[in-house]
Amino acid sequence: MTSTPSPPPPSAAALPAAVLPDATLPQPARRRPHMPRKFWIGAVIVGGYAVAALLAPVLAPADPMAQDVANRLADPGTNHLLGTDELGRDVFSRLVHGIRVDLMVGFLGAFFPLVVGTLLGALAGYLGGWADVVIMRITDLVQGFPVYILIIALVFALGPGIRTILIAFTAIAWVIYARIIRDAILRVRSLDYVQAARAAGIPHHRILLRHVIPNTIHQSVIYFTSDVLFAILAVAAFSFLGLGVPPPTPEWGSMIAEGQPYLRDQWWLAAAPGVAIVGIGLGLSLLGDGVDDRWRR
Amino acid sequence: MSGRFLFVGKRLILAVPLLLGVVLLVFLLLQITPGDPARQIVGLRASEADVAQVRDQLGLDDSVFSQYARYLGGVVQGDLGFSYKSRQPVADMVAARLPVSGWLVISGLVVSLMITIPLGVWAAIQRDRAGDHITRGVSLLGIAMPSFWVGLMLILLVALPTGWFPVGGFGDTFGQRLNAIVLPAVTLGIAMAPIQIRSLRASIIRCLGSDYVAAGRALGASGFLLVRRFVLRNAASSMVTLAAVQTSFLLFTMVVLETTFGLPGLGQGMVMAAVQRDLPAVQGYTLVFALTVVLVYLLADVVNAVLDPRVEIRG
Amino acid sequence: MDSCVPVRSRSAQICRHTRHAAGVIVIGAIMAGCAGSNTDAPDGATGGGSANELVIYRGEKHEGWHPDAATGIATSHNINSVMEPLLRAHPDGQQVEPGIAASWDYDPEGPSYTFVIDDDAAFSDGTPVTAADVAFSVEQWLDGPNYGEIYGSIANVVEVDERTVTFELGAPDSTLPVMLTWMSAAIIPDDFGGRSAAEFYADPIGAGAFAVESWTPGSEIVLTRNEHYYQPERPYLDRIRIVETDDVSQRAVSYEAGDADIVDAVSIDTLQQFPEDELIPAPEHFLTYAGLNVTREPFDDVQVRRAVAAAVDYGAVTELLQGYGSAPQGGLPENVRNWVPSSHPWHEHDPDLAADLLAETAAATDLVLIYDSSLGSERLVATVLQDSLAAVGIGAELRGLETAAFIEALHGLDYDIAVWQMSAISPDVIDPIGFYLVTDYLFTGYDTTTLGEVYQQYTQTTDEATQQTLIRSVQDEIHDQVPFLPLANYQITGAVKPHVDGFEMAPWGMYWLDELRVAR
Repeated sequence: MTSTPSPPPPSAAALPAAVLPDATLPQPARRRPHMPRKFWIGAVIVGGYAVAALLAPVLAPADPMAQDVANRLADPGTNHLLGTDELGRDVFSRLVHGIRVDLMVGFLGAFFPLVVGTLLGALAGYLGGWADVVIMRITDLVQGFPVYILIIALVFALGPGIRTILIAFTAIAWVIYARIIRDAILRVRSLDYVQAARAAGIPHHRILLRHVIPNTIHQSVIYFTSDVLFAILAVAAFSFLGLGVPPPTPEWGSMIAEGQPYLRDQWWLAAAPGVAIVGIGLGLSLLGDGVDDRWRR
Repeated sequence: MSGRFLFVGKRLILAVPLLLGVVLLVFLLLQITPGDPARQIVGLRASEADVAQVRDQLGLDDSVFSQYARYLGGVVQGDLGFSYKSRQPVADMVAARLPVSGWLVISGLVVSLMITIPLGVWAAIQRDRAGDHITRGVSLLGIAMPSFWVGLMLILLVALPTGWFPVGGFGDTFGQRLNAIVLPAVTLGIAMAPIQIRSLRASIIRCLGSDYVAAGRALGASGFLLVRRFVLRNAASSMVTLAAVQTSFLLFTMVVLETTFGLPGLGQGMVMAAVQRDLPAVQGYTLVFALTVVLVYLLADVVNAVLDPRVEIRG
Repeated sequence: MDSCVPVRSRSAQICRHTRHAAGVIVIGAIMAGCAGSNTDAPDGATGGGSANELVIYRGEKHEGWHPDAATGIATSHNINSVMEPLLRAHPDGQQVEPGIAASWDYDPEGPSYTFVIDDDAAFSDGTPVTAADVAFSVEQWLDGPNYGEIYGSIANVVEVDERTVTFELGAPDSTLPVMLTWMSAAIIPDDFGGRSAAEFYADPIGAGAFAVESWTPGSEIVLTRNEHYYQPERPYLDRIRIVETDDVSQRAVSYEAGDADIVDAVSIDTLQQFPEDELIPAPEHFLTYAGLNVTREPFDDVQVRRAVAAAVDYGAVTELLQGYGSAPQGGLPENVRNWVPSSHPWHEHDPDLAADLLAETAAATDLVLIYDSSLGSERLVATVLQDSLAAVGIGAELRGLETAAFIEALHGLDYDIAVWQMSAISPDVIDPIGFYLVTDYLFTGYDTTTLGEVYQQYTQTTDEATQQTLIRSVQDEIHDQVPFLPLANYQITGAVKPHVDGFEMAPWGMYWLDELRVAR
């Protein structure tokens, strides 16, 4: 209807503009055959978090759940690197164990939509007809909705907790993957050699593997990294609002909320988990940005 | 102009099924929420007869279709249902909270533009040079920061040491409200700016590469003048589109920040309703947010049609 | 707090106790609710402002002016200040004092009560309080679906003369005066002063110390002096602004900045943010407890309940209260009239004993431990409790619920362990006994047959020794059968600027606004 420069495709998260493909930009002629440096910086950061998550029991000096009420709200020091919280638990240990929770929710919160969206997109693309119309109308509806608000509503309906958050993410974030896959399938379908291949009796799944996947993988990866970031930020926000991960699980958003009353005197309780989030967020953004740069060439 | 008029009309007509779908989704919340709404209204020790009476009053035993029709009918007339937890019509709750949210969103957007325009332009002019890299780094950082945490850090680093701003609450007089909105608006601006900067930079670069800019350059216009004269104006339309795409994120950030700063707006109302399990209120707020998004998309299309001479209108 | 939704049928009793229970919300930070404001008076007087004005910050929201619909302590407090009830509770938690009724007589033979109305008692519009007003008010109390039942012993009201009124009772009730200190016994003008009930409760008047200037729901209440108040010279203040805000840190900061003269019910999260010498604690009273659902496994077995009583690290819970509380002395809130401890001291922290007891019972895992998430303190207490249970091999999942949802779970017995707080709201131990009675021992489903008999016998006698023996039997039953675990006694605490005099808080956190004065 309009020929306006097409807007950046609204991702499920509407947030990953950080990593939105700038494909429409005129590009300099330089060739960049390798992953750019920022990709590697991002990979190192994300890898570091992943390793820390695996080694959490080794890295954390104390049990993240162990209470010592007599020693509550202790200042940072040699015994407790980041002090203790309102129940005397070691904040640094909780922070390290929090990586497991947040990273896992972030990863799964992006992985499920990827799977569901890819399947539904493939269904729409291959079956066409009514299946295509119905699935695409649903994607319109979901995209026309304020997705985060929809998540709050879903969390309300299903009750708080990690499971609910994952269901809500999946119900909403699959849309973009479905579109990518469906569009790629339609495009591939119209290619002469694919039609020739089909005429020659090559089965669908092989066409899919050969031509569709390579055409969509980079876009999916870009959205995937941004959705992991989105999921981590959203889980933290929901926990902060009291609609997310229940206590006493060490989760960064809840830790910030728990630290809020002590902002004035023990500011590090709220500050430290935020820094942890910024760190992983930066890592993921750089990673996604790097992939984007590489594939744009 | 009639072409434009038709275009707008057509967009409006296309929005109708979307609006119906949105109302349907919100209505379905009632269906997927466990528990009997009637039981929640009369209380757990009330007799079955009492529950049945309320079910009857609310028409909960009617078919889902007629319930949807009734809900839709109410929504069309501005009736968003009745909150039994707050004992008032949801529409009244929304109306009371709307100005606070409007105030926050508008001032937040102003702040974000104050950040976006200089940085976006700078990044574009400095493309692939230091300014561009710095701006990009700052944007990445901005995206990685949870907004509620930024809000708390501003309270910690600005409000507490200086005492200039309240740490929460809204106030009664204009002056107090102006003061109370500063930190939330700055936080909202910081949250919104990174994406806008990226987009503005991209559209400026696109425009800079286009023919008429090359022409302008050939005519001797340079640097900032060029950007101001030709580019910003053209980049504006993609910013409008972006604003529409961003609305959803904006609304969520608003919800989180209203809770962080204790502002009695729609977002705080929604979170409150969610933790109190006040279904009609959750439905009402969800619907208001959803309609906002749909309308902003619509508006963005219309504004673009007016703003961008390149929009080709096919009646 | 709006837990009192059921307004029909048999809900009366339920609402009555949610009031107690919801009242304790004062203690914590309320997440939900509209934000308050930190505004100054419209006339430009700053917080703590002009000579005879006072600003109070609190977390709990005012629910409205209808006495029968009140559930929270803050609402009761506000209603008492405007529509003062017939009698007053003394802040010592022990006595009922004269109020609008200057004196009263109990005739157990009648049985009946006769009240003489204070000569100076008048509504804020200047009309004197008469026997007809009291008779009309009693009608309203009895009509109340929530609290009406507690005045059920009043069979008939006789207007003896303009200023004397007799309540004829259907059965002896020695504790009725206690219930007449509740906000639900508000005195209002005959026939609502000629208005409809709805009009009246939207903008009520009463014979209390203050009249309502304005109420902005979820945000602010402004009260102005009742020029016709019956107590000589009182109230001392011309105007009181009550600012409601959820944010615990905001209350602390506003107090420090001088915007607030009083922060009532300081959250334990923020106690250390107030100057210690300006914190005025009430006597120990609030009971933080863990209800055990005795209607299903594993707590249908008294041995498991006793094991849990030995498993709890009471010291850690007390530690959380930072000197404003102590280990429990029994299962009834202290510092009210006729409170006595049980015959044995409460169970001690003894994990080995707990483990031994549990070894003989079925394993208890996958339990659900709910708490009221509106109260900042409850999450901490619940987390400590969870830790204590884990130490003896009992696994429980924490589930924080907002007050209304929490109360729903309690009513539905949809939990295994429930952490909450309770208090009386009147100066007699019969108040919590009545509460346990209607809630099946704090929503645990524990049998209340003997408790019901105790209640009957207590209200029918005026002999204190007999009453105290009855109370000891209740304490002993709680000790032996452990339907719930008292975890700590808490002192509700107000922060009060040095220039404020006359702040004296009853154990349950209420204080009389007419006694406050400012000296600058």
